[in-house]
Amino acid sequence: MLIAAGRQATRGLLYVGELSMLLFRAFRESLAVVRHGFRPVLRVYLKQVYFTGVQALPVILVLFLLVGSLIITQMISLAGAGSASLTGKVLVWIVVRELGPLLTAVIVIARSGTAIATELATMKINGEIDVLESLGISPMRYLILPRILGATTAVLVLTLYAEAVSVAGGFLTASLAWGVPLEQFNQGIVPFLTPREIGISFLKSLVFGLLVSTVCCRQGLSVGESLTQVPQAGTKGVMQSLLLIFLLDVAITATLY
Amino acid sequence: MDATVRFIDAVLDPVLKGANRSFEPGTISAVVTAGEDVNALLVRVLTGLTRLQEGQVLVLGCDLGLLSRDGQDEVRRRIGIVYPDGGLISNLKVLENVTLPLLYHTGESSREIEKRAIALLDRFGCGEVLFELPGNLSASRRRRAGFARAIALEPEVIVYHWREGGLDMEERELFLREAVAFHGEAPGRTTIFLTPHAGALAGAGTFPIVHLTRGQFE
Repeated sequence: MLIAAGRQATRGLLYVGELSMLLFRAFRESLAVVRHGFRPVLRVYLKQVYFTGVQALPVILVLFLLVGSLIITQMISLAGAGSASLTGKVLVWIVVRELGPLLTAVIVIARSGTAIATELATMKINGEIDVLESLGISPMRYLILPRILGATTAVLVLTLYAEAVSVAGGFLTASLAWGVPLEQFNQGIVPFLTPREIGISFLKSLVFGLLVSTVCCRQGLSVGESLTQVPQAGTKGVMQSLLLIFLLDVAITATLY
Repeated sequence: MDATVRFIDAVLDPVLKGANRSFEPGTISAVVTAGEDVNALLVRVLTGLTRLQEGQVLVLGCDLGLLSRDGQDEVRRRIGIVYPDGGLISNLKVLENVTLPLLYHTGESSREIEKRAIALLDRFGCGEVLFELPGNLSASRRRRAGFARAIALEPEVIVYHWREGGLDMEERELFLREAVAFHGEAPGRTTIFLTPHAGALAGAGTFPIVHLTRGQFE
């Protein structure tokens, strides 16, 4: 039992080491990008921001509008319409501290994490990564770095939108359903939206973005020669990303709050 | 002029067993191998993606295995590989496939690069499919677009991983004619055809044919 646990822990540590190495190698390439020019890398980066960020925006907006409404509805039904400042405070705590970064990362994993892992896996199996190398193009520089940067940028920006829309959805619901005025609602929100709260939310989404993109890139690159490994890469990328973001969320929350 | 490929006591079991051969500047050669797998492996060896077990392969005077990452990329930039299926990147449109190495390796403006890429694709009859993804093209068009990409950087060494299938007689002749014409466009360019049988290159002209048998160039 202990031996099995030890083996599992060793595997886990090795896995984290591999992820760190991949991230390090990708960022080391950014120096080369500065030296050799950024045009092709910028194109891949912008495409990644578009697919991960812009295309996910409608889903994020609708989802977080509903999340804000739901939280306010539950809070008012629990504490009453007169406690608008408390409901606002709870909304900020739940959305900015937890749901904003976490749920955004989950959506990005579902939409883009699988896409990154399967796309890279397909490219590897088709020999396209070797072709890039034979053209003198570093796959780490051209494929991995812009994907990691693009997906992380998208998670950061999407989280900002998600949190803003969620608060707006909460206010709309409180205002339309229970007639709570804006000033009263603001009393529960503005004092709690401190730079520290926003900073920690930013930190979480930054870490989640880096983690999700690195895990999915690593899964995509880890396939062998069989086509059946492509969907497996996607599935593993999703499952490992989910597990790791929840673990890190707990770690960051326990450390900083 | 160092546009030479040189195998020195090259060992890579089971394909190369102490093989020696020089491909001199300005020459066209055909290497007849046991099959496509061997050709693919030789391409990997020439581009430094597969290391020899013993010996050396010098391309343009450099042993790729001894170079830094940037050094390898610099030499690879000077080698053109024409893949049997085109070797196009599946998520890039045809035009993007050809502009990619130019954007990556040259400081030319994007407009200039696009103009050059379009001219190259026109030369190979791919002018109408600039914005198609490779998956939507016929095998022949993919190969021609891959050819356009391989010569975009005007390589000093060009290696054709040759496959006869997928091209009709007319396309094959056109392809070989273009290959020979491209060879003649720069003095000192080294051209190597890797083919499973010499008959596949009929009509390309006369040039030395080397057989890779039992791990040796003969």
